[in-house]
Amino acid sequence: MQLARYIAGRLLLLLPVLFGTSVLIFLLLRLIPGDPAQVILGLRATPERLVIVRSELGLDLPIHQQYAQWLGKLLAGDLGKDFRSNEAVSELLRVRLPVTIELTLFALALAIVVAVPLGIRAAIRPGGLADRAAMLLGLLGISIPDFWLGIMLILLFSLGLRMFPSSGYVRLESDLVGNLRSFFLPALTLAVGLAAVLVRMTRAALLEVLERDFVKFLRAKGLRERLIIYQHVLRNASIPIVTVIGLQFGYLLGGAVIVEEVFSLPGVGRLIVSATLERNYPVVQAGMLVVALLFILVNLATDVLYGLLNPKIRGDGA
Amino acid sequence: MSLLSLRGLSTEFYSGGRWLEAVSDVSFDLRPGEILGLVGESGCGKSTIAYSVMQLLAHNARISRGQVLLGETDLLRLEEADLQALRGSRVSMIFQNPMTALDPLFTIGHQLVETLQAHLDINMHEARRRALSLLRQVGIPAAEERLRAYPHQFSGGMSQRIALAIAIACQPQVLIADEPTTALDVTIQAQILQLIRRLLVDERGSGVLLITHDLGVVAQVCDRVAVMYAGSIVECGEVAALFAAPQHPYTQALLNSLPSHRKARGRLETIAGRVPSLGDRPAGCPFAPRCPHTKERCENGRPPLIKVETGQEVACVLYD
Amino acid sequence: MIARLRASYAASPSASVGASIIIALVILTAAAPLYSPYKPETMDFMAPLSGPSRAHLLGTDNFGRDILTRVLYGYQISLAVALGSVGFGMAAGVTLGLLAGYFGGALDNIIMRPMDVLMAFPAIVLVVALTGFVGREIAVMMLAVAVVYVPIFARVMRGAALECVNELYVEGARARGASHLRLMLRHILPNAIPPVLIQASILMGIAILLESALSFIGLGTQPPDPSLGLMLSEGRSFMQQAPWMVLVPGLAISLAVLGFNLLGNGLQALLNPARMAR
Repeated sequence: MQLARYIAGRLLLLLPVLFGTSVLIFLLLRLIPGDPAQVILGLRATPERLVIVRSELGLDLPIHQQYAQWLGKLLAGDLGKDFRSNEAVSELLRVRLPVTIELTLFALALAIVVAVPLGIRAAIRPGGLADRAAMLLGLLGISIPDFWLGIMLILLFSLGLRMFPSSGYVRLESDLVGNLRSFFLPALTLAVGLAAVLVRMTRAALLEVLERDFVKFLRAKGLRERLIIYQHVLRNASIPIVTVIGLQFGYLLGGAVIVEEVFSLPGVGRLIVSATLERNYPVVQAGMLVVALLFILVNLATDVLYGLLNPKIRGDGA
Repeated sequence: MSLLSLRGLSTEFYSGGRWLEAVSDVSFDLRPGEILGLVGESGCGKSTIAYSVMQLLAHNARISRGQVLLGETDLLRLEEADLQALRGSRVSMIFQNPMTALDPLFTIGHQLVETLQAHLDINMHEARRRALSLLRQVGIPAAEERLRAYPHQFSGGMSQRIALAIAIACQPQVLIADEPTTALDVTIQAQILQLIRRLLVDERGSGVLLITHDLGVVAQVCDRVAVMYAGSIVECGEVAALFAAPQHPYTQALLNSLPSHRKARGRLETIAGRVPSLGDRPAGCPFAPRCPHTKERCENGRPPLIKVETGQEVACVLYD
Repeated sequence: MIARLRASYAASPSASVGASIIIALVILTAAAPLYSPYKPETMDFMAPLSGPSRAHLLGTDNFGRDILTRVLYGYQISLAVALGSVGFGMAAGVTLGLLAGYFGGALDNIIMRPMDVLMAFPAIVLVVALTGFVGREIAVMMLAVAVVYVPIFARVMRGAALECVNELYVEGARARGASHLRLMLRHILPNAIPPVLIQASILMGIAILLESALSFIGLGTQPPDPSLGLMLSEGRSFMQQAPWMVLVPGLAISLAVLGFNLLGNGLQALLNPARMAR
């Protein structure tokens, strides 16, 4: 009951952000210097074609009507048409979105698997070997550009050792192993930056929990140190760690834009970049909308998870 | 035969590049069926003694000398695994702030059961049965439902009762209670103190080391009391005798500063000067700089505890 | 002088190393025209794709341009974008955050809700879109990155303002009849300087990353200007014959970003000693 109210509250808070996001994406098209229809069609456009595109974009209407029209179509699932291929943008996204989602989830898993255990060890023995490794990862991981790291990994593992493909994408349905192999290097590239942030947060969160009174009481009860760390301290530290993972998901989506480019993966990020380069504005708008929506949804999921982890919010018990 | 004996215990903290002695050469015995009060101002080292006994000192602290005997066992010679087996089973501890002493993410039932299962070879069903019985013993109403409740659903007094239930779960011979009622309302204080006396002393014949800065608490429940000043015990004896005829100048001054004390004639007295900080404690009697009777001999090392006619032991050159 | 430097090094080795890296880069870069024997666009047709040598310390690219020289000039663009974006972002963000935190209420909502919207986009996506829609000039890049930074600075400033707006000394100044402006500038702003500085240092590093990423995908600095990201993207086609073409610019970016991160971490340790204890 309490949890339901909490989630409802979170959803309510999302409404203004969703509205603002749609307004911002809508307004982006107005930022184009000159006549968007002219920019889109290029200089050789016929006057008839210009009129058609203007009315497609709704440029002949007053601005609030333009927004209403655009939003109405959006809610009906009509994201407009690709100016080059005339394909429905929603279809483009349907094909591209799974690639980006798989890439980010793979990277998220890699980052968690490395960073959380390392952060725990670092916190248990400050100044120890694990702590130094964590410090190094935390510093280098946020300093090395991901596109360069990707290139270096290709140079080493694909061109040098020939262990992984350097680019291209194998569909999940057709070949699982091939799919994972094609995703491994990109996911690793993407994971390093997140792992850097995560290892620092895990360490800091654990150190903070280890200072709390209840840990002293658990020790005075004679519990084994392993049990104290891996059950009590970790569960308490997981609340800030989960929050950070949620916040950092945006970083992963952003990183995907670049990493997909480096490894030629046909995801939403690469779609946004190539569409931007060819001034294919409806595709860019739709791509941004999807990325923002994903980000907002992940943050909502984080809030829910936060509520589930916290009995004060969950509101169960006698 | 005493349950817990400290023999010349000294504990140091590392600070500013050197080791500073927080507890100096402390000895006392805790006997079965008694509550021994350890009283002193904050920073006098009384909590450090508790953590030294439990071997739960912070990373920057170490025991430099002495023995801590639990029955026949010298705790300072044990491995960590053996210490873990003793903590919570033969010697338990409760803390000042009950609201933060329990893990907020686990039910209190879980926190009771895990303690029982850490020390006793019993199954889940038996552990739950005992947990329930413990909650009833410490006076938690509707105990069966409350096992599934989380710490934030309890008041401070109730939380301290739960902490006490956890501490006595494995029938310890010794309970160390570090300011157990300081964070609670006065009416709740008395209930908790009586509960400690009834459950540990009256029903089990265990010993309790009660650490407090509050002489009122000492008068209320303690059998004997040790008064600490700047890392040393300055006076030790039966509560009644010591309150009636305090011998050490510090104890006298402390009692005179109590509003309720009979000897307060008209106005309350304060002690001149300040407690010396850890870094600059004097080499001799630590109280000498503030003592009205200071002599030259007070500078020659800390005076030992000596038995005086009124029955208590006093560490002061006046009684040589 | 040396004693003071040594003392500040002891207080935070991280900040000192970071600051040294940054100062060295700035001096080397600014003075490049004075000592570099090449210009960034000078092509040596006799020595394309040549490895490190005495003539070209870090080798040449496919046009025979000296890579070290191009890196030094590339830093000029990186640092300009970083400085410009952090400058604009900080000025706007701190002002908005100060107003939101100090006055609270409706104004707080009017200012901070749009900030939430900006935060709903990953930085690179927003920057790609802005440069893609508006134009690919250095000034646009600076402003696009600044747009990303405004909400970050606004949040930091607002948080710091909220922390001290009810403090006794602020109440006291208010009771003495100090004006809103005076309270904000004299009593609240100074409190936010440490967190804002830490943030600024880290965001300088991120701006360098963003500039090179944009140039790498073709939406930032355009050829033939020497941007580090652009050099990397050009080097990709030759990375097997001339690995230095991708190695050198990548290391160069990392070094600069590392410098700002070290400085940021060090400042955090210096300015927030309590949080870093242990």
